[in-house]
Amino acid sequence: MSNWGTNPKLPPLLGGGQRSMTYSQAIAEAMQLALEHGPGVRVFGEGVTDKGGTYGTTRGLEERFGPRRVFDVPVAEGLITGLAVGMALGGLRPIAIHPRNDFVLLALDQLCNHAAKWATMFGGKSRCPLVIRSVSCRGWGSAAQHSQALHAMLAQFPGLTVAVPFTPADAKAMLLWAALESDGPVAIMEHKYLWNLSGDVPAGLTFAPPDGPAIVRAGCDVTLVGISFGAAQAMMAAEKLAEQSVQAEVIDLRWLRPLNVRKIVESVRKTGRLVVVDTAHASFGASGEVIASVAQALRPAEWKAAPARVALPDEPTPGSNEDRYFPGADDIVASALRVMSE
Amino acid sequence: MTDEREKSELYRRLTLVRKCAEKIMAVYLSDVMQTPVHLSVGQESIATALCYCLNGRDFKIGTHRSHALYLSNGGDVRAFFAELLGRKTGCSGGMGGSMHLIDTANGLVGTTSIVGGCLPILPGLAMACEKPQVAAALFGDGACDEGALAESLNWSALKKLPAIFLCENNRYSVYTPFGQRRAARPIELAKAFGLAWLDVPIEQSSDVFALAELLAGPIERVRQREGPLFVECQTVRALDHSGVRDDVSAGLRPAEEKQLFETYDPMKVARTRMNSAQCDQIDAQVAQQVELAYQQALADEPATWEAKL
Ligand SMILES: Cc1ncc(C[n+]2csc(CCOP(=O)(O)OP(=O)(O)O)c2C)c(N)n1
Ligand SMILES: [Mg+2]
Repeated sequence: MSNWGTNPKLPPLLGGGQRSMTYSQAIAEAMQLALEHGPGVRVFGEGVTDKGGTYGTTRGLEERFGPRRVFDVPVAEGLITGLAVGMALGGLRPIAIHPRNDFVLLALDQLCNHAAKWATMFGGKSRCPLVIRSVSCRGWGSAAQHSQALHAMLAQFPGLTVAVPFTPADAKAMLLWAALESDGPVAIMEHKYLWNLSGDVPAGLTFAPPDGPAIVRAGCDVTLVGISFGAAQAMMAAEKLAEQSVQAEVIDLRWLRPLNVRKIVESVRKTGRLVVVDTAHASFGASGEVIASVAQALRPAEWKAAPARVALPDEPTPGSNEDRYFPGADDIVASALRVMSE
Repeated sequence: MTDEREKSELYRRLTLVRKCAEKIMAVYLSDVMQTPVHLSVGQESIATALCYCLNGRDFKIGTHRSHALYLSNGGDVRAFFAELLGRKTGCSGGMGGSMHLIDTANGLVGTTSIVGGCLPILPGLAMACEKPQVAAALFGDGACDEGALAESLNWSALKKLPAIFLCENNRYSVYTPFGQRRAARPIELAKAFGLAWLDVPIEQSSDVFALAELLAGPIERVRQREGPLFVECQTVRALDHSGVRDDVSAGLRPAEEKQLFETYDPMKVARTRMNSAQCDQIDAQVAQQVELAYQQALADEPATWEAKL
């Protein structure tokens, strides 16, 4: 069940709504709107103008907006990110795309030493608004260098805003906020396993500034916090838990930096139990950060059980046996039941 | 260069850079400036000539060694010293220090202390330029050791960007000489990617008037969108990599470096091209300007840092 190839069909987790579309369609719509409404917007990355168009999210944009605004680039991630920094300092609103999370590692100097620092380093006399879209993938034996989810690493850097959208509505509105309104650099970590997830997406320009997590399913027994695709897995687990009369409250983290845990704290105050579901490694990751931040805000007596996390094992992704490596909804259910039984 | 007004303006800017460095040298060992300074003594003619050929709308980006770039580009002198002194009135609000100077009003978008960091930013700036605006980066030979140079040259040439790469080749990265680091000079990469190029020996690069004249035409062609330009200027660093001491006497670089500076000191070279009474007059004016700016900066309020979260 956990190895779905590279493009899984997810159950209808978010219901229908007025204007249902998939996560990838929502991103594509945001890209188009950003170019329409932001004259300074530029879109570039490896393969953005090829037939595939970044898994369908940039298809047709070059034809519509012209090669000056939408263009392909060399396989040079440092350059790509440096271009974004230079354009931002020159007054444009660049959106650079890395088709795999893993490649961002080659762009860290420009992203973390430059973009993240620029405003502070110059006493607020300069701004570096840019968007880095990167897609984390897994499955189909992609193995150790093509399966990473590196959001926690980027969230280490003050000066960067890090988005981990789960719903199609957020995938669109976070991207539009980042591309048209943010005054600093924003990294948007998209997860390929969410690509076919459908949900209601309001029409037109919608903006989601970093304003904390969202409760996506109400419950009173245990709080499940999901990060990116982890939220989808938490929703699936909540469904199964309900069959065993455990009512899980599911919270979509939405933003890693700035991290705002107020809603999670309120939820755990009610349930007394917390399980965090991440798509990255457990050690030094976002799950630990969420648990620590919530723990600091609660009194020991408010916990009914020690918090738990469901995340990747502390080993690089194997090229086979993925269903043994990646945790699935059943692992979350098991973890939640353990927490319930304490 | 024959026009006397132009010559005295160039000489004035060159002198400003040198006098500011001398002021830093005079006070630095007292620890009044708690920031790592990288002085351009010996190399001032390069930034000065470059900025003379550019205007305030053109984008510029620099490195850890950017005092000359900031000052010869018209940066406010009090804000310069205030930055080094950690004052609120510093060009970067006292938050950057010596290696992070900015003057957006005059097109200086910032300076970065990550060696080679400015290289991929330059083509991005060039892509944000509206004709006839251009973008320029001033960087060292050490920056060219980074792979970022090849990536940036390739893209700038492919897209015919209005980008000016100016390498100040002082043949050292800290104390590691060129020959221990490189198989070819930086300009060879530029040639390989088909950029227009200028290979400037120290005889010309130390002569601010000659260099300004040499750069003017090729920079104009960049303005006309004929494609990017790469300039490699041979030069010599007079002082230690960082700080105000003499690293040659300390045995960190060979004695020939000192002799090279004695021969090609841009100030000396400039004076031989000018009327000495006029030079003396400019020297005195600039010295006064620098002293006043320093004293004002010294009296300015210290910058304070407050946690925002
Ligand atoms: C990426 C990086 N590596 C190493 C350093 C340490 N460092 C600071 S300045 C410098 C020398 C750079 O030489 P060059 O680019 O020729 O400039 P110069 O100091 O000679 O003007 C080095 C290696 C750094 N700041 N950044
Ligand atoms: Mg050098």
